[in-house]
Amino acid sequence: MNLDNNEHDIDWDKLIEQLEDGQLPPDMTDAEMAALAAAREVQARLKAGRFSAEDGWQRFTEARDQRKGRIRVLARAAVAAAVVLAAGATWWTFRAQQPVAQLANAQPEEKVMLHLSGGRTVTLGQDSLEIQHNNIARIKARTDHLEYAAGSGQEQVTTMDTLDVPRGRQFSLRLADGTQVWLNAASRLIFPAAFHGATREVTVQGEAFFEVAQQAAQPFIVHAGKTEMKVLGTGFNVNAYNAQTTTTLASGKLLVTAGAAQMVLQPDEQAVLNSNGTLQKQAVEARLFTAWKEGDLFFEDAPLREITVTLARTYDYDFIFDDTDLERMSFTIDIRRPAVLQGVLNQITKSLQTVRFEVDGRTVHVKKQQ
Amino acid sequence: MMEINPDYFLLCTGNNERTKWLMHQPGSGEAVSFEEQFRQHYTFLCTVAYYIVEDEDAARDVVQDFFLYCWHKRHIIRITHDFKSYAVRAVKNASLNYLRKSGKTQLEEIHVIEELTRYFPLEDKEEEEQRNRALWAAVSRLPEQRQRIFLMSNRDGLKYKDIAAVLDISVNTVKTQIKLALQFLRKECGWMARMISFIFFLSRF
Repeated sequence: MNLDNNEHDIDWDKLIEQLEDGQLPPDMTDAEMAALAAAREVQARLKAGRFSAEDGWQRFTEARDQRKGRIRVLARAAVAAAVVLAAGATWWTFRAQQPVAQLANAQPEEKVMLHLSGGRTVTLGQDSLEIQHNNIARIKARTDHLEYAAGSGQEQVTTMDTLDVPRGRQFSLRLADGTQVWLNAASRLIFPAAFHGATREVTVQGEAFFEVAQQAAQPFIVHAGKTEMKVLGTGFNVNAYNAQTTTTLASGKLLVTAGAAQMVLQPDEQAVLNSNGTLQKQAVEARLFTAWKEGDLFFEDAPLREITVTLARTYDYDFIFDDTDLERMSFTIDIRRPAVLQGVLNQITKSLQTVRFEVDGRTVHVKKQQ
Repeated sequence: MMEINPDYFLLCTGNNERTKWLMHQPGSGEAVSFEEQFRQHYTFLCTVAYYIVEDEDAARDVVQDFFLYCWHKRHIIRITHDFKSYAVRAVKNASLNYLRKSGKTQLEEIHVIEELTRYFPLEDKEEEEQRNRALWAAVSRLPEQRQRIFLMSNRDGLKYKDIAAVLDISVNTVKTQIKLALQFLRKECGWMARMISFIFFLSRF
C-alpha cells in the first residue's frame, strides 16, 4: 500500500483546527475523516499517563464511601420560628445544667437466627460455618450472609426454614435457585431449602428486597401480608411492617395480587395494599425504597417521626418525642448508613439546629434545642 | 440499565466495608478482588472514554460511574467471558450517552463518533499493545522541539495559543509542528494511514 497516496486529499490546516475544537464538520473528505480519526486515536493513546489508577482508586473509594450525600432541612416555618425564639430565651439557663451526655453507640442486642425445618435453631453472625450438608441442601453461613445450594435429592420440600432478623441487624441470603434476598431489620423470611415443585414460594414479614433468578418454568411467588407477588424476572422491595403492604419495583416486571385485585408493576412503580383491602398503584423513585439494601440511609422530605421509626428498627433503639411539634419537621438525608446510631443523630443535629437528642440506655428522647 | 450477562460472577464473601469482593471467572479459576480489577482496567477504560468524550474529567467520571455501578450490583452482576470486553462496551455506551446529554455535540457528529468507536480500542490485546508501542517509539523519534509541542498538545491537552505562550513562539509555528508530527506518525504507524479504508463509507452521513 502506498501510504502517501491520499496525503494531498487532506487539508492539514483545517484538520489541525478541528483537532483542537473537537468539531466534525460534514464537509470533510474521506481522507480527512480518516486522518482525524487516527489523530483522535493517537490522542487517546497518549493520554493513558494522565489517568493514574492510583488517583482513580482514591476518587472511587471516596465517592463510594462518603457519597457526601445530601442533607437538607425543610423545617416547617412555624415550628422553626417558635423554636428559634425559645432557643434564644433559654440558651443560657439550660446550658450549665446539662448532664454528661450518653452516646447512642450500642450494638443491637439480639442475634440473627435460622430455624431449620428439622427443628434445629442456629445462631448466625459468626464467621464461616457449614450448617447443613445433606441431599436436600447444603447451607453455608457467613457473618451476614447465608447460602443455600440444592442437594442431589429431587423430592419436593414441603417443610420450611425460617430466617429471623431482629431489630438492629440486616442479613442477606442466596436461595437454592440463585435468588438473592436482602432482609431488613425486624423481618422474617419463610422458605423451602430447595425448590422442586411447580412454583417457588416464599413468605416475608417485615421488609425484604428480592433479586429473583429467572426460571420461566417455575414461577417465583412472594407472599406478604395479604398480598401475593408473582415474579416475571425482577428486582423488587416488599415492605410489610405495618397493616399496609408496599411493593416497589426496581427492575423487571411484577404481578401483584391481593384477593381478587391484581396489577402489573413496571420499574419505579409501587403497589400499596391498604388495611381496608384496596390495592393502589403509584409512581415512585424506587431508590427511596431500596437504598437500605445498598447500605444507604435515604429519606426525602420525610417527617422526623417517620425517620425515627426506621432508625429504631435499624439500630435497635426506641424514640420518644418529648416535643410532639418536632414529629412533623421534615428532613432529607442521603448518606452511607453509619455503624452506630450516634452517627446519624450527629448528622441530623448538625443540620437541624432546633433538635436535640438525649440518650438514656436504649431510649432516645427527641427534644427542642435549648 | 446496563446489560448484564450470565457466566461471570462477582462473588461476595460478606456484607461490610472490609469485605473483599471477588470477581471470579468460571473455567479459568482466576479470582481477583474488586480493587485489583479496578486498578487493572481503570487507565485503559479512561482512554476508551476519552476517545469519545474528548474531556479528561468527563472520561474519569464516566469510568468511575461504571465502577460504582458494578459495586452496587456486586451481589448480582454476571458477565460473560471477560470483564474487560464487558467494561469496554459499557464505558463506550456511557460515553456516548454523556455526549448526547451534554448537548454540546450535534446528533450527526455523535453518529460519526459512534461509528469510530468500532475501531478503537482493538479487540485483540496483542495488537492493541503493539500499536501503543509503535506509537511511543515513533513519538520518541520526533525532533526534540516537535516532540515537546506535540505532547503538550496531544497528551497534556494544552491549547495551541497556550503552548505558543509557554514556549514563546508563534501560534503558527505550533500548528506547523503539530502538523508535521502527525504526518510523520502517519508514515511510521501503518494503521493510521490504513484508516482510510474503513472511513470511506462514513462520508455519506
